[in-house]
Amino acid sequence: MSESIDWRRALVIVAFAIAAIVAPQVLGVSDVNLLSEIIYLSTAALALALITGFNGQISLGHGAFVGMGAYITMILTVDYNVSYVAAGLISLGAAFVVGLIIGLPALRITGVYLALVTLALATLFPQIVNRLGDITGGSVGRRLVPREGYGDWDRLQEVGRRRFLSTEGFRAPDWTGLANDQWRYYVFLAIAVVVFVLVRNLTRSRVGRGLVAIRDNETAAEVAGVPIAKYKVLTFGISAAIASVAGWMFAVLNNDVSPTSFTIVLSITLLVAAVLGGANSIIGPIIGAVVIIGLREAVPAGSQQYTNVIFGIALIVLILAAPGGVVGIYRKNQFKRKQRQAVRAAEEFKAALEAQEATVAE
Amino acid sequence: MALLDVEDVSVRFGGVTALDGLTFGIDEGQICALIGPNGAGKTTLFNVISRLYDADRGAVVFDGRDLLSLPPHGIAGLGIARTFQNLALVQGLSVLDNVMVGAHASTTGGFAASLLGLPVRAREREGRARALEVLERVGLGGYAQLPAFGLPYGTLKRIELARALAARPRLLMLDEPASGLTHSEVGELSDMIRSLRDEFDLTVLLVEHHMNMVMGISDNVVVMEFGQKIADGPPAQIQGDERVIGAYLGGPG
Repeated sequence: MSESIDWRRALVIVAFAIAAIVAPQVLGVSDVNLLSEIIYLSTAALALALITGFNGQISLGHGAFVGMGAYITMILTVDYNVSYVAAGLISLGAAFVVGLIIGLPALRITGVYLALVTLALATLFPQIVNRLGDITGGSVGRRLVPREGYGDWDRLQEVGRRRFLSTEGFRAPDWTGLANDQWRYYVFLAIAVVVFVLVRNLTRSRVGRGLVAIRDNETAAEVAGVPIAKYKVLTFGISAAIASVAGWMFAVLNNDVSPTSFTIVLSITLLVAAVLGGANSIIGPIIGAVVIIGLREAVPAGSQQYTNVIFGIALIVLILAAPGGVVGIYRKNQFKRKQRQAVRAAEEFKAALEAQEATVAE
Repeated sequence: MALLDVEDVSVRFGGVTALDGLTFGIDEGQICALIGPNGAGKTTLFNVISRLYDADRGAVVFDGRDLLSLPPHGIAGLGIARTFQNLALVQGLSVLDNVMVGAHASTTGGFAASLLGLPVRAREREGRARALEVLERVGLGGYAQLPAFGLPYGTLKRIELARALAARPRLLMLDEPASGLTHSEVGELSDMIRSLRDEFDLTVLLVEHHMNMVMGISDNVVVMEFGQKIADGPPAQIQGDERVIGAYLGGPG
């Protein structure tokens, strides 16, 4: 049963792992960066899958948490000479706390209303960034590698070239022998594996069952002893922290952080990615990210403006045809098979019972 | 001493008095049935004990502790589990996981431990085994991996029963467990409730309209009407009580 090893599944996982490790060795720079982008989007969509798919708290504002991660990373590494690792950890902690704070009012509002409030968060974020132009670079944004003549250039000149060098972007250490894009990809992959495994652990635990119970039947969850408020707020915090990790990836990948990257469009893209693949699953966000980035790449240059239209149509069709996303379709078939098995077993049992009764009667 | 004491509990919804100074107790190990016409306040009392409703007055004392000062999620941990009149299953989880949700309060493992996974594996396996055991006990061993919807009504009710049992309760509250069941299923259920009580050392509080079942398995029957208790005693005594006959049959009372 569930305890025994599913060989087919194990084989698929091993095949994917090998492909993921070998890919950057055989692909060109732009393709490797495309894979890195898929990892970034998968991670961001996973954050949303956790909060919306598993816990039922609809968030249309997760782009803001991604943006937070990206900006904190950018500001800390460029202005304060903080290492990428430390910047990532600090942004993770900050996003967790902000997530908790936003999760608190979310206790009182649910469903569509929560969607609206988080929507406000998504629209507010670029405004806040513009307001804090001194450190964020305002509407034009900033680069991880400072440009000559740009805002803080003089200050960087003052503190000296050494500090400037340390923020020259995300570089592969010499001992790896890897190109920067390859190194970045492997780092992303390692981080994503850790994040996905952690979330998978969570969803398959006592806490994870509690989260789904809260989503489907709050009364039942409460009566069973699940502390609803604590679980909801903590999930919001964890989800925000994961989104900020994706934001860190964004900053490191693009070297360029500007408010136009973190508008409501990003939040909706994340939602599409999660729902497309199956928001109630761990694999779903990956499938969603692959489809979205694949779709974008498939649209010929010059007609990029149609990609959002395609997303919109895809989302509508999907919600009508398969509310559980790609993973949902697979699960439905699995469930149907199991149900048939159970019915068959019950019928056999009944037949055996009747046969036994017949012999007893004789 | 009584395991559960309901003392002078009143609940008002606007101008409607759902419970009006209700007082009764259940001794440990008893099967106590709560009967009365629709709207008498039986389910309201369940919801007060579960802390889903607030009482306007009175106290509910379980094993020396006042329940009304606890949050709703704090009740299960004391050893009180219940089923619902209109099923409250978690549709997105399998039958087995639903039962494991029932064990939430009697198991441990918070966010940190769950995220890291490893330290909870063994406990998780143990919990799974126990949940399977409970499912077997109510005759649903083969249903463990199915989704908890689209199954026959009687089966869904049993899943709820298994979920309540998984909490290892001392007090089991069943809200109309026999409703919607066939005649033979009601018989099975009566036997099961009695044997479960003996096996798990349960005290059972039961809301039920099925009189044969109530009179067959109860040690004590509390009769309610308009939020008040109108009679209280062993089945034989209740069956002869004139006010009870009046309330049920609309006689002169």
